[in-house]
Amino acid sequence: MLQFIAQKLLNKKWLILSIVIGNILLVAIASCNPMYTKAALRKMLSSEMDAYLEENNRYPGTIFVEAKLGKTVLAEKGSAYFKDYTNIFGTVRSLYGIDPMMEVSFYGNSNTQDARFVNSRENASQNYISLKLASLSDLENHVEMISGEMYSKTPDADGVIDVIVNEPVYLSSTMVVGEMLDLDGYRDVNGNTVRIRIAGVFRAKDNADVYWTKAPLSYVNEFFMDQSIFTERFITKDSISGNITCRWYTLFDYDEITTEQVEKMIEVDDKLGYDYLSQGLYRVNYYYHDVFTNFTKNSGRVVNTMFILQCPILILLAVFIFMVSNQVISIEQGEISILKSRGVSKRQLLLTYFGQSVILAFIGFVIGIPFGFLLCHLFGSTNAFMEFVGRKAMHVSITGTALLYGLIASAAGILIMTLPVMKYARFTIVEQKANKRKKTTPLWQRVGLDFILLGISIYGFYNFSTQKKLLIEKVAKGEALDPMLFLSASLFILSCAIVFLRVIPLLAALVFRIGRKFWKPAAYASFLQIMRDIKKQNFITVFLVLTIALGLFNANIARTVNNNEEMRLHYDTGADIVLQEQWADNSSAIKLGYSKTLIYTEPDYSRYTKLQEDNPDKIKAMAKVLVDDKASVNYSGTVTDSVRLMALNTYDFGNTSWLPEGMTQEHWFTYLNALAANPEGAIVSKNFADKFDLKVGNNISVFRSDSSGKSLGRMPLTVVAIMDIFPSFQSRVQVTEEDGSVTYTDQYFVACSFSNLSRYYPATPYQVWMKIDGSTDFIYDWAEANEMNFTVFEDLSNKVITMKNDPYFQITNGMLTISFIVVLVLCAIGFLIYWLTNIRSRELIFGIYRAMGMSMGELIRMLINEHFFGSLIPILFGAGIGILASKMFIPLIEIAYSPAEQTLPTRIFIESSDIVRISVVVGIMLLGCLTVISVLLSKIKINQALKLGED
Amino acid sequence: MEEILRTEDVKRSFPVAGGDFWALKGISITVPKNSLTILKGRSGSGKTTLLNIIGALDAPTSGTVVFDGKDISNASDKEREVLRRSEIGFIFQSVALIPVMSAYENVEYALRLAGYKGNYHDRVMECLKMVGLSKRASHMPQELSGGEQQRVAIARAIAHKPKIIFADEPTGELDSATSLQVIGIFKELIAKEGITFVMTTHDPKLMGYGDVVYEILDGEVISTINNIEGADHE
Repeated sequence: MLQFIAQKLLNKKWLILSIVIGNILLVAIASCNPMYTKAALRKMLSSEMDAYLEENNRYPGTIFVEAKLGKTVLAEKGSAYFKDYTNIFGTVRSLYGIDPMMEVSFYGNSNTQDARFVNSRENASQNYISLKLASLSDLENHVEMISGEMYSKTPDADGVIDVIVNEPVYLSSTMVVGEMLDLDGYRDVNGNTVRIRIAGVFRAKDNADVYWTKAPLSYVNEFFMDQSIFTERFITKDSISGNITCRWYTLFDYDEITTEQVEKMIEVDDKLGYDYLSQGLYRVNYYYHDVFTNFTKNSGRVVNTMFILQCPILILLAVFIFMVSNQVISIEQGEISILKSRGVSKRQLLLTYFGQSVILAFIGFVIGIPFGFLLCHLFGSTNAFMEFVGRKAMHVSITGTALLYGLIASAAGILIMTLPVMKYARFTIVEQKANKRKKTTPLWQRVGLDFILLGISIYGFYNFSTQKKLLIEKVAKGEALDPMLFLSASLFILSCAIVFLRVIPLLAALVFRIGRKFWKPAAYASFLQIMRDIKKQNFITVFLVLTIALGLFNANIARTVNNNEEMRLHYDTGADIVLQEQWADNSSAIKLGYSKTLIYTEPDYSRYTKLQEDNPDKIKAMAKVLVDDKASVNYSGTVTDSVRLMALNTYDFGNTSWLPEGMTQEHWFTYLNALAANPEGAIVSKNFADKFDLKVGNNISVFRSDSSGKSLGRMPLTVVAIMDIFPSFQSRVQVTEEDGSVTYTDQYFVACSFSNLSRYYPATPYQVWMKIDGSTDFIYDWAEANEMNFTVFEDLSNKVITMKNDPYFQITNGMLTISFIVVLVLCAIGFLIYWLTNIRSRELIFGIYRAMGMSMGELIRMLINEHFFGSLIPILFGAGIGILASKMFIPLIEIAYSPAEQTLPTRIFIESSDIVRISVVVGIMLLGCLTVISVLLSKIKINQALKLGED
Repeated sequence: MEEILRTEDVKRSFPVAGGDFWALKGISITVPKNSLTILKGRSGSGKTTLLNIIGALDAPTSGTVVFDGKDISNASDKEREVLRRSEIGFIFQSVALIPVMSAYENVEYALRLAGYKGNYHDRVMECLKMVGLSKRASHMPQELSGGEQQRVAIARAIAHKPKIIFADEPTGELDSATSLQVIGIFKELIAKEGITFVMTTHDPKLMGYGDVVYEILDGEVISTINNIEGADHE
């Protein structure tokens, strides 16, 4: 049975299966680009729309057309001048091709009219009120009547029109439900007088309902009637009862908007705007327009990034498919040359293999597309590199573009699979046998192609390094990274791998020479095998080095991008929680002239200390930090304004806040201690010290003023330490000028002790920083329970979640995670294939060794030694190359992910867990392989193996 | 006549669909020391199976194999390995040199495996000289002709001074002139080194060179020719 399985394993079926897997992955990864970017962009769009809704408090998915139909315009230009306003919704629908979620139309008087109560008031001045007759479509379904009843849909027999009014309007007036009013100065389109009856008083059912395109309470003059009555009585095609304002709101569900629609909508917006605006009396507005324009700019960046990140893995897959196809064809080499000798033409041969490739590619396509679809879901649930969470599913769908990408990938696959045949199809059996005897150095090695490629990639690296500034500027302008950078990195790794091919035999020869005398027969044979049969191993060696190096490189990119961003967020925020309460002050007294100095009342700090006492295992540390960005500093007569002044208690601050290790010359506590040692000391930023040639021991003066600009006096300080970075301090701030150009302004900081500051200045609002262990939810509960108001409320954990949900980061993490997994899979398959075919081709030799009396154990030891040089050394080398490439290229790649003005230097993260992961997989692979091989070998009957030699 | 190897009623079966296939149906042969014994038969006759059993590569299903006075029919794998390493040499029909080793290294490797006690270089060159290839010592197998490769294989087989050498169709891929050359070397080695050769062949032209010739058909010895003086003729 085992032998049967072994035979199957050794059979070509497994190679073919590997090729199919390669094709599936190729198609899946190529096609998941459009699928995923589309879904991610859609999510990005929808979250940007959500943000718009929150900020502007109006529904962003709105197309808004407004017309002011004037009596004079109608008289001058005739009714034809009006666009068919009754069909504006239809026009919008057909232009945009969308299925609106809701359509709301408002028709109403542009100006207020005087209306007289039919029942005169005692006080004659109360006989009249000003109002606007108006109508809102479908109003009846969005209001509740708090008094009276809903208007009737038809005027009564006397032509009296029912109206309803908003609750505040009703309450602020003397009107009563059921009362009638006459609009003496107003005539309808037929010239009749208008009488209305207050049928009821309404209140909006739900103020947050998107139906209320204008807040319900903003209708302070409008008396609403049924819309059909309004159009019948006040606006008809040919006549109009006065100046009428019409508004048409088309609301669509922005969650359903696809990215393709965005482009189209922006186009249509212009057309719609042009069509109506040219009439002179229309106003067209698209609430989503800014979001969309911004989105199209960002989406390009996302798509490019995805593509760039994908490239190396696509190349690796192509190499893999080529490698396995080559293996299959080299096994079939004999058959091919026999066919050639029998007169089969090269064309026919190629056609046969082409057909075979098409079938394999087709299978790859059919399975690859749904597999890509699954991958997209996996992307959506990546939280960080190699971390997955259950997140709300994204709208992933198989699109035409995805199919197209899949087809292109399949076509490439066919080409790659057919390519190796070209090499063999040339020879007949005679030529092939003759070739076998030739021993030539490969062409690339003779011309030194490996060194040339390495040179090119290093040149690329050098070039990008020197243009780092330019790169930063480009990214700041919203451009994606140069794909050439990624190409250089990949090329660097590839060329290193090829150069390594020259090293392995030399290395083996060296070790062989050193211990020539001591080698047991097994080791002796394996060394000769490695040194002399290296050519057969070239491909697997390059592949191993490539996969390990690329896998590690990708992992390091992901780690670096994620960790730096988290680090930056932590640094910028300063602590896990930063709060600044709204302080009560006497500003109203100042306004009224009762007081001249602004005096704050410090809120009860015991609430904070109690919170800490109640949650000792959640709040690890807490610190009062005063932050004043408007301080001025005088040093030897030069005054610098807008300096960030931070006052802190060094012990608490040190425990609460955080600075990454190793980024300051000494541990940052050393600087805090210097401040603690001198109560009148100051820590100043390095850029400030550099600018004024400030040294430790120099004296400076700090000036503060209150919010009205009134000076609060001077505080003398002595510089005790100079630091590059300090929690929450930004040394440069990016300023975008009106013309779009980007400039940077230097920022400075001075930190002093809190108690010292209190000696010079009255209490001003300070922040409370907290170091939290675990969830921050309890802070929110506490703040709510205490009814606290905050001017600053920063929660680091929220910022991190937002970052992780950002499509840009998700794509990066998702793509790199998938790449890493694919690398591991390919590495395992490639490795197994190589060794199994290698063992098979050497079965006869093993038989000879066994016949010569070599024991099974020795034979396995021999293979282990081969493994060591043929696999382990390339793997170690690959890891080395991966780390080297990371150190070289990641600082450049990281630029794309970090804001240009960042103060914190970028650090390269190489996480040992990733190296462990690769090692474990590789270890399992090696072990599994050895086990399979051992089982195979022990099942090989020597006599049968030897028989293989007999034709 | 002193014997080095003897089989008594050796049987060997292989499981096949629908029962067992008996490749050897009870073979009793005797190999005299310092002789060339030929096992003759068409392919499928069972001669290679017999060679594998007497060469300690395979064990008989039943029967006894006595090599150098010891019963090896029930020897363990380990014992067989030791036997093959030190006292037995093999020569195969196809090119059976280790491709990554030169002619010299191939021969030397047999010495390493056997843990040969003497001077490696001298012995290797001596053996290569015996097969007439001392000048091609540094050549790799693929740079040698078929006959030359087979001669290296012979040199390798005799290097560690085994008592007996088994050759499975050693001339199978060689032309008749080269075949005769190989047989000539066998004869010479029998005379000079005191080795015993057992070879299988289906080439009738070579029968005359054998000291003892067993003809095997369907797993049974159908005729025996003994050319050694004083032996009984059947």
